Amino acid sequence: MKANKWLSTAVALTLVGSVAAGCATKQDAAQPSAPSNSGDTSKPAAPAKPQELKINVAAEPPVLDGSKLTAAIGYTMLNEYNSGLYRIDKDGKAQPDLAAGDPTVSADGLTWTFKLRDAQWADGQPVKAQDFVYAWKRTLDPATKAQYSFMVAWIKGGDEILKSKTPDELKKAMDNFGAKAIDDKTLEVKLVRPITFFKELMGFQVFFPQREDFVKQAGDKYGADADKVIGAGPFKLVKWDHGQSLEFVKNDKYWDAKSVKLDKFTVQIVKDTNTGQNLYETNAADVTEIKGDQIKLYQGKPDVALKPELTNSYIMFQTKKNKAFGNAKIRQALALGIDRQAFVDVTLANGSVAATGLVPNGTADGNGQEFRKSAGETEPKFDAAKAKQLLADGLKEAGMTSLPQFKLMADDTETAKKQLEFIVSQWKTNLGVDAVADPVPHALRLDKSSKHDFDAVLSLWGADYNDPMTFLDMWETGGEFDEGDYSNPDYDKLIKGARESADPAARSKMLVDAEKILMNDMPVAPLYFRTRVYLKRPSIDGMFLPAYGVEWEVRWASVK
Amino acid sequence: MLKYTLRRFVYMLITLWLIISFTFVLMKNLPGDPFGEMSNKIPKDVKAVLMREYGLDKPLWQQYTHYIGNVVQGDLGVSFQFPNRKVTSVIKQGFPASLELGIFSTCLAVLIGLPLGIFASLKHGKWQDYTAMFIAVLGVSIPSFVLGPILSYYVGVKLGWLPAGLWKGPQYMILPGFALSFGTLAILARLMRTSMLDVLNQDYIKTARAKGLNKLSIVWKHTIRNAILPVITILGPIFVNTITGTLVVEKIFSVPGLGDQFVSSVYSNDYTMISGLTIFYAVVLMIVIFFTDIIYGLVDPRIRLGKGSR
Repeated sequence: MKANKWLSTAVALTLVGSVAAGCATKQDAAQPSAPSNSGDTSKPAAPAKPQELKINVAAEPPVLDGSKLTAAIGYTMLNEYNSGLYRIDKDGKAQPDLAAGDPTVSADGLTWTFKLRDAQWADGQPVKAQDFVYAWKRTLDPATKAQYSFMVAWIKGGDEILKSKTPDELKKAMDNFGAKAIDDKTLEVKLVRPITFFKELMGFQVFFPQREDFVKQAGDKYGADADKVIGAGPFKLVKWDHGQSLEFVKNDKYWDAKSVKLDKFTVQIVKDTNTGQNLYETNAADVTEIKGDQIKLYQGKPDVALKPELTNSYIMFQTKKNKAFGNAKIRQALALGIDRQAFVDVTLANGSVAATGLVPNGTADGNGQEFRKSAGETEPKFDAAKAKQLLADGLKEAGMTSLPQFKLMADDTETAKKQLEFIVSQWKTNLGVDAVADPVPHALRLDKSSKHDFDAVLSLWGADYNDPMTFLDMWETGGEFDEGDYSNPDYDKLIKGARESADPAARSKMLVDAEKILMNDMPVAPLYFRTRVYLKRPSIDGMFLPAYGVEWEVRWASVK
Repeated sequence: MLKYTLRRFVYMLITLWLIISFTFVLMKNLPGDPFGEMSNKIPKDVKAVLMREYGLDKPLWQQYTHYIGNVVQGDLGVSFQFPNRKVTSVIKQGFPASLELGIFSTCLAVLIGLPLGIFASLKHGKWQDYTAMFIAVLGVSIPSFVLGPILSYYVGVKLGWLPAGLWKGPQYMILPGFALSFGTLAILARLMRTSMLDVLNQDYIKTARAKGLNKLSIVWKHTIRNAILPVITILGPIFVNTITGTLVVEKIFSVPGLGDQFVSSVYSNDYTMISGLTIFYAVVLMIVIFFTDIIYGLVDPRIRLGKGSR
């Protein structure tokens, strides 16, 4: 019994003991720390700086599978280890990558033929036209459950594959698909309707090739680990510690390997921007995004790199459910009653630009120009007096004496809440209008928006491709994303015309006119064009932060 | 004992089934769909195809029976956030870091907190007591989302003694471990002190003193052993909480643990991940509680007797 007591006492402190033991073994198990194990192997010329980068990203790529990806962070990495027919350079222009030069396009703009250059996959196998066709069919196959399949469905026959319900239907649709490998090096693509920016679109990672044998061999693990990933791009993925980091090294098999200067880059998953900043300060990271108050600390320093995006923020009005918002003048009044410059300065202060129309700065017009330059300022400037007048006129037209209280919905993030407060107070002071801020969780906002269940909602929209259409076709009558139930036949006509047109100049003109109509009817009141801010070591050369699609591009990067 | 264990096991299964069912109903009532940041961009007909392929267009009871069927076979399904990765593989990859950090921080909390509480109780009403309790109050009142960034910035950046974040070796564990343990440490210290004071006022301690037993033996054999019971009780759940990942500390120090998943899966309606994590958490919790009960019995013979009478 005595001995037993001692035993019991010992067990009483079991947790202490086992926990302590646990610590010891765990510490032993940990592997050597990472830095300083490479970089000094090759020392060519004089000031040889190791050509290596450590880049922080905010999230783990969900999967590295061109068909199933949706997150920008995943596309960013896919874009480094794989290549498409074209690669978007720092000016947003499509440079031939796996394609040998420009495509030939038929007169009606519907048939595109691409010649492939001699290029290899990272394992030395040749890249073939069939690899593209396979990738696109795989994305369209309903069984793949790809979310971006709707863009591949712009290729003729794509929609039929996507909507096929039986194996027979699927097989038939696959056989009739509009993309065909004429031979190993020639790819012919037939489109449903002309797409003027189709060449640029080929730089989007959804359209990158995939290797059938590799995908099949990896099975349902494809894209889930470093050894389940293959590409034909400038780098290759050699290590993937989930939730922690991904390591890429230069791919010697890349067709233009000699122009790739980086030997290695490591992507570190750092979810908190403050931690990112701390790592940057301690040289544990070379590139990291910063937000909010962090930005002020770095003002004027060479480390700051801006990423102006093809992303706009706007207030969308529900024009059917809310009687007052059915009136264009009332909507205009609310739009004009917000000082957008002050809005950007107060709630963001991150280089974001007050909106001058719906389509963000930097968006191409499909005719060799920037859309904002060809359209000019289409959104009226802030003018409290005019807004008041418009509100009075609008109320009279609508047969109302005053604007009833309404809700302005937005996400419940810090920034969005600040923005809600700002807008509500602007409307109160400038127009005497009572609006209630209604911050809700992101998923709920999307859900309510898609059910058209709101008065007014604060939204963001990022470009899927560099063309005004990505922002404008949303507002067609009965369109998927016309959640405010806006409808104007003139507008519809212009969008339809632009969609069918193969003449870039006429098309661009139609899109400009369409935006003008929209900014006159004001079913949406654009607020700003988003910019994000990064810290980037001044010694890094040639790395850039593209306006859409990927977070960054290091294919041309080097360390000075 | 075997019968007792078996009965406990059956209860565990029933509890688990209730938890799964309850979670299932709750999460299916979350607004929105599981298609993440793309959700507002996918055209409706494409979304319909996705819903069909994932079986989300079926009636709820069918989805439920299907899911339960899979769980019974040990298949928690594929995550929506990470297509091509099984929920089990995501847990397997995130758990080790959380476990290491959790064990380390619990170890810190116990090794510092208990002695602190014992020490304070023995010096009851003296300045040592007040100092110890002041530390404890700090621990309870400074949340980890304040302590974490302070440690990361001052110790990591300003002093440069330890890494400000990331997870590459033992030295990377110290700051997050401490940030995570501070609160627990304080709770343990306070609880231990109260419990000790309680026991110290008991008649049998007075008797032991009167009998002239030496002080160390009174404290070690009679006081601590009796006072530690409530601590063991709360240590179980605290331990489970820390080893299954903590959102805040893991985020602040970029620890590749499981903590973030508990939140992000809910935000993104990752149904399979939500229920997978719930099951995982429940199982770990039940196992730990089970062992806590056994330890309880070993520490306090009265509990063993009590069990026997049933």
